[in-house]
Amino acid sequence: MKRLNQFTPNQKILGLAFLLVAAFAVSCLAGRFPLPGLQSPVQLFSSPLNQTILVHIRLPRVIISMLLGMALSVSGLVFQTILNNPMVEPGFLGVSQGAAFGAALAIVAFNGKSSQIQLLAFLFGIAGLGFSILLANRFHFGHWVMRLVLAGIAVSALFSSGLGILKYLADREEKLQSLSFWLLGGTSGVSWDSLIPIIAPILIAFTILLLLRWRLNLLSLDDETALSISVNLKIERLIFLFCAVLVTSLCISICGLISWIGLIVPHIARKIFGANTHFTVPASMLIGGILMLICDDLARVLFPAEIPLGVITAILGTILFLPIMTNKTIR
Amino acid sequence: MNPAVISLELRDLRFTYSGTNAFSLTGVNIRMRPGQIVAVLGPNGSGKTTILKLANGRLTPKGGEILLEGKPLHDYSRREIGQRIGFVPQSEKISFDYTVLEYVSMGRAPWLHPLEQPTADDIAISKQAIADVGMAAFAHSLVTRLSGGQAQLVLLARALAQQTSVLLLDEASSQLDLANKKRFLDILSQLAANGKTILFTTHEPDVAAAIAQKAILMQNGAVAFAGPLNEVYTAQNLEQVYGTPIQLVEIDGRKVVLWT
Amino acid sequence: MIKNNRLTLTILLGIFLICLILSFLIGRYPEVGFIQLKSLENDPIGQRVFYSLRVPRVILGALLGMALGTSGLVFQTVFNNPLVGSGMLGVTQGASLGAAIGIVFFNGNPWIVQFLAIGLGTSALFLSVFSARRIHYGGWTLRLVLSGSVISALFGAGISLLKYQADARNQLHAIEFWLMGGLGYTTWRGLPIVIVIVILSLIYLWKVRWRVNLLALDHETASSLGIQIQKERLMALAAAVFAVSAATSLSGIVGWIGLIVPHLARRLLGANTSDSLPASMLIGGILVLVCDNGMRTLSAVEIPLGIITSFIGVIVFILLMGARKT
Repeated sequence: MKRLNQFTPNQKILGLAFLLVAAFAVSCLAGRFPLPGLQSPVQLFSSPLNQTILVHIRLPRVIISMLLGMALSVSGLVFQTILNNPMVEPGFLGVSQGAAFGAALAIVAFNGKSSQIQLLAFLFGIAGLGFSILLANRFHFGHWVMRLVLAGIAVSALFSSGLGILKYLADREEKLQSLSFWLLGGTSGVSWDSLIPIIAPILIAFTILLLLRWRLNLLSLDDETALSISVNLKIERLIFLFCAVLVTSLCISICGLISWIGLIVPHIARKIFGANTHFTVPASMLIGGILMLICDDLARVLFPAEIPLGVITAILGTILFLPIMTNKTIR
Repeated sequence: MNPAVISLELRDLRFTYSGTNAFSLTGVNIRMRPGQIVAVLGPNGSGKTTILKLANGRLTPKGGEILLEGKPLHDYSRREIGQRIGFVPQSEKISFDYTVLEYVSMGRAPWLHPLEQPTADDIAISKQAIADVGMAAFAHSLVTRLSGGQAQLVLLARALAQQTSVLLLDEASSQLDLANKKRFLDILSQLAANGKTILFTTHEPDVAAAIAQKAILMQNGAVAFAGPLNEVYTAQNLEQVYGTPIQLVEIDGRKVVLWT
Repeated sequence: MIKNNRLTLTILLGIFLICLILSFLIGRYPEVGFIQLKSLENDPIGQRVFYSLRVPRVILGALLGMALGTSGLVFQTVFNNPLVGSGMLGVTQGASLGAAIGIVFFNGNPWIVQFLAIGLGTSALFLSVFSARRIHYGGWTLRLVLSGSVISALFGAGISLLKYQADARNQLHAIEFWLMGGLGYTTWRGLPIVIVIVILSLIYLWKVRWRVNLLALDHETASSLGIQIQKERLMALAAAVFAVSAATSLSGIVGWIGLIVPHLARRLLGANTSDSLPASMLIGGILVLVCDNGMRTLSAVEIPLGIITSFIGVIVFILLMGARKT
């Protein structure tokens, strides 16, 4: 940590960006074809089969992993800052459970193709957030953060009991199994077809978040103070939340429920850069991207039968969570 | 009630909070007889509350000793201390809708076996305590709905239901309006007249002047001045402790602080 | 007020007993409706259904409901926080992970299962409280709710690892449904030890029902009342965790009962735990029995109990939150 402090924040960001590029390159070379491990670039372009695998299978997967990590982490940061609480993750306001319910509905009721699963997961994720906000406005208990959290918990529980009923109705051989795997989350089988439609909205949301990154600081202040330095709380909160939820639910719709990254990465970013969102927004994106690429590489290279990505992030999150929690101060 | 008896004595107390060197309490000597009211005054952070926590047995002194009815405090069990010393906090946050009576009857805890419920006697004592602070009309109101001043009276009633010989009060009259403050202080005087020993901290010199016989002025964790109210309570002493110009005027034999 | 409370408690006790008796009699064997005890004598299948399936199931259901309701009240009071229950603090997730480990790796040995369930249930509670203390922002209520939900997720992650481990055809299905909470798989196996743990814990909590009030007070005042507050809090929490973990180890995760039952009890009888603790116990038992009886009688395909309770629980929770004025 001390050695890190020799560098200016900009240098550190640059370093992280470099690491991300490196992780991206390595991920393109890593795989189990023809042999488990890394391929040399020469080998990669030597056979047309290798090229096809790279372009049509590996590349979309590497890109979505990277975007997924960036999206979950930066929205985690946005949620933690706006709700002024270090224990929230982007999916918890009903988004994750809503999306899970949507996906289950597509699988169980419509025998869903992957495009249907994505659509329903996205729609129900957004609906989950909508319900949470509507409900929070009806509650009469405590501060608005508290109301939002409670509403999120209640809506998540409603969707997950719905999910339970769908699981129950699913036949146990095929549908339950494919549902279980969707819920564990993963990027296998992501193709250009499902990737292309979501790239543009994700990049736009990222751009907005990056442009406004300093103002995110202001939203963590007390309402009174924020008002007194003329922050338009309603609108600015809405912009940030909208961008965060948009990227989260787009990614969830394709990759399933990937937990922990959105909770943990903002903590790592704050650890390196301090609390200023001017730096932690880009840092969270970069760190999240790097971590997710590594996790996904492990998921597909380690064993012949692929480990679900969600399982790997859960292990990683669990390992990182306790040291972070036992750290002196959590902010 | 033998006035020669010392009910509570703090002898040469020393205390530091572990981990911080910022604050230490040194050389605190207080001796109290039944029926005495002693006020502890001093600026924020001068150690007033720490003294109460020590006297309550919540903190253990690093040096010196505390004698309760002539015996060291640490020879008493927690339960026995609870039967002898009552504590009134400045405020207390409670999330549940207790009625005032239920809340006050919690003061009976030191007299009950852990597996026991309050008996009819305990309820009667609690009711009396509520009546003593003039809150009889509110016995069945919810504590969560009380105003700040009413809540403080209820906290006092709970300590009364505890039926202790010593009462410790931490800034307990700070949120009261004028009428309630007068009532609160009258109750304290009455209790002292009946033999209770009362040690209280306050930010308001006037409150101390109204009822205390002895005063202790704290400064930076040490006793700056201590003794009978009239001796301690001079403009000069107060100026030194609070570090701001102060004038004392006497109206009908009572000292009132003016600051300029 | 006090007289009314006694009457209310008596009525609740009456309802509970009626529910209990009806639960033994009602079912889908031999046909939907009540079983005739007399007809059992000459019916070996009926006897087996009755003694090896229905009796243990009803006993577990009653104990589970009582444990969840009572411990919910204890958690809420000790943490001075009306928004926690055993589910919100990770205890049920911890206990079910423990039980799942016992089932998958130790062949369901009842002693090991109990040991693991209680051990992990306790550590989940400890972790929730520990991490809530470490957060520096926000009120205690909110911090505890959030860290509890993160710790639940932590143990949930453990369960999903097990799921991944499990063989897809048989074990996966069993784990999935056991996780959703249900009494459908209850047999006598493991039940006696659960009965002992739950009943002992509940007797202790019932005995200290008035003392529980004091556990909500500030440290300073509580200790001035002559209580060894740390010790008594620990004892009450331990009893609550033991009861919930033991029952959960057989039933799986049955959510939300522990959160809403204490609210209902306080609505009916006031905040005083002398009355609201026994009431939580009874209401919890009644709710679980009614839900379970409904599920197993009304339809041939049984929807897991946990789904129904969390559905009902959330709705009640939303109504309570919507109605509360602060």
